Amino acid sequence: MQHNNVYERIHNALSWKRIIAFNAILFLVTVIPLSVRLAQEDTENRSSAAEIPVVIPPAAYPTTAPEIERVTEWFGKKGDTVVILGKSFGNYQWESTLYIGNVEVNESNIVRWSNNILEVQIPEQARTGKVWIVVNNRQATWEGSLLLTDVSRSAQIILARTSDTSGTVSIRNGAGIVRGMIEIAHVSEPLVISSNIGKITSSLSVDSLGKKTKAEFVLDQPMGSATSQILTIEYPGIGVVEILRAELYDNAGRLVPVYADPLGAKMN
Amino acid sequence: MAYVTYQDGGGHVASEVESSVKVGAVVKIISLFGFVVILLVFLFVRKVFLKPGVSSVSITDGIGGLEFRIPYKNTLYENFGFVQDPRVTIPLKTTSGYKDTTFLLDSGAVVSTMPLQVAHDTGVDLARAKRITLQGFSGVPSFAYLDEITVMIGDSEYVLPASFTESSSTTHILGRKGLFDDFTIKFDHEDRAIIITRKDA
Repeated sequence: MQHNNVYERIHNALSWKRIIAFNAILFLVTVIPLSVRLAQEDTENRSSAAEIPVVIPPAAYPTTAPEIERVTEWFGKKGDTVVILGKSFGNYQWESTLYIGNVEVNESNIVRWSNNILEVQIPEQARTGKVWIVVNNRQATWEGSLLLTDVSRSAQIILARTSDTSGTVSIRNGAGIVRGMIEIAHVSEPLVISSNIGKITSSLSVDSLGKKTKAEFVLDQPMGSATSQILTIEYPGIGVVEILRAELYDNAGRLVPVYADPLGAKMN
Repeated sequence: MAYVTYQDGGGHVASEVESSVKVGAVVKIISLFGFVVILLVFLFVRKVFLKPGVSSVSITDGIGGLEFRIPYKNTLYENFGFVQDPRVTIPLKTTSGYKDTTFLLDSGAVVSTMPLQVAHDTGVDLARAKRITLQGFSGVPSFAYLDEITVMIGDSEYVLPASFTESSSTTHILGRKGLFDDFTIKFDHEDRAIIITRKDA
C-alpha cells in the first residue's frame, strides 16, 4: 500500500503540463552555454590581439641626462632603420636633436621617439660616424660608430653555433684587417672568448638591457679575403648570444665597413 | 473460501491498476528529464555521425573554374569574439623548388609578412634588403626586411613584395600589396567563404 501511494502520488502530481514546463525551463537554462560550447569546438582562442596601445600624456623633459646604451644594428644602408636604446630621451622630441653618422636627423626620418627607444631611418647624407643625442642641452654620445655599409664592398661578420655551448666568429672578405673589437650580448655567464690567431683581451659589462662582453683582438698577421675564423666562444648554452657591435681596422688604422646577415648574427 | 476467492479476484484487479499507475509514474519521471535525454542523444549523434561542416576558401580563375578548396577555422579573439580565419595553402618558390605554404589572407595587412627563416629558404639576401622596424605588443621594436617572394596561384607565378621579420610570433601572412592588385577578393560572410577571382588582363 505504501508503494502504491508513492506511485499514485507521482502519477497524480506530475501532470503533462508540468513536465513540458519543466523541460522548457531546462532548455532555456542549457541552450546558451551549450551553444557557446558547440561554437567553440572548431575554434582556436587568441587573446589580446591588436589591442590599442595606451597613450601616455605629454610630460616635461627628463630630469636626468640622456644616456645611449646600445645602437642596433651597428651598421646599415641609407634608409635602413636603426634602434637607439638608452635612458632619458624624453617622451616627446620637443627641441631635442639626434645625430646619426655625423648628420642631424630630420623629423621625417624619426619613426618613433620615446623615453627609452628611438627608431630612426639613416639619413641620405649620413656617413660612417658617431651617434649622439642632445636633450634639453644635455648630450649623450654612443661609444661606437655606426657603419654605413655597401654589401658588395664590406666585410661580413658571422656568428655560427658549433655545439649547444659554443660558437665561432668568422670574418668574410676582410682582407687587410689586423685588429678590432667585437661586442657580444649574452644572457648566461661565464662567456669565454678565445682566439688562436692573435692576442685577445675581453671585459664584461652590464647595462639596463643585460650583459655584454667586449673582446679586443690583435691578429698575428693581416687577414686574407677568404673566410677566417677569428674567435671561439664558450658559454653555458642558456639564452641568446648576439653580436652587438664590431669595429675592425686595417693595417693603416682605417675603420673597415662590416655588416652581418640577420640570420648569422645571433645564436638562439 | 469464497472470501479468499474474492480476495484473489480483487487482488488481480488491484494489481492491474497498480501496474498502469507504476508505468505511468515511471514514464512521467523519464519525461521529466526528456530534454536531457534528447540532448545527450543529439550530442552523441552529432559527434559520431555528423562531422562538423567546414567552411572553405575558394580560388577561382576568371571564368569561375575552381582551382583550390581549403578549409579554415573560426578564431575566438578575446576582445572581438568569433572571427573567420581565412588560411590559404599555395606553392611558395624556394631555393629547392615550390613548397606548399599556408598563409593567412589578411586584407588588413599592407604587405605580406613571414618569418626571417623564409628569407633563407627563398634565397633572399637580407643584407641587401631594406631594414625597417615593426612594433611588438611589448613595445620593443623588432626588425623586418623588405624584399619579394614568388607564389604560384593557379598555373601562374606572381611576385609579391614581402617583409621578413625577426619576431618569433610571426606567421605567414598574405597582405594587400601585389595580391590585391591582380585579384578581386570577395569576403562572403553568409557562405563563410572567400572568393578570389583573377582580374581580366
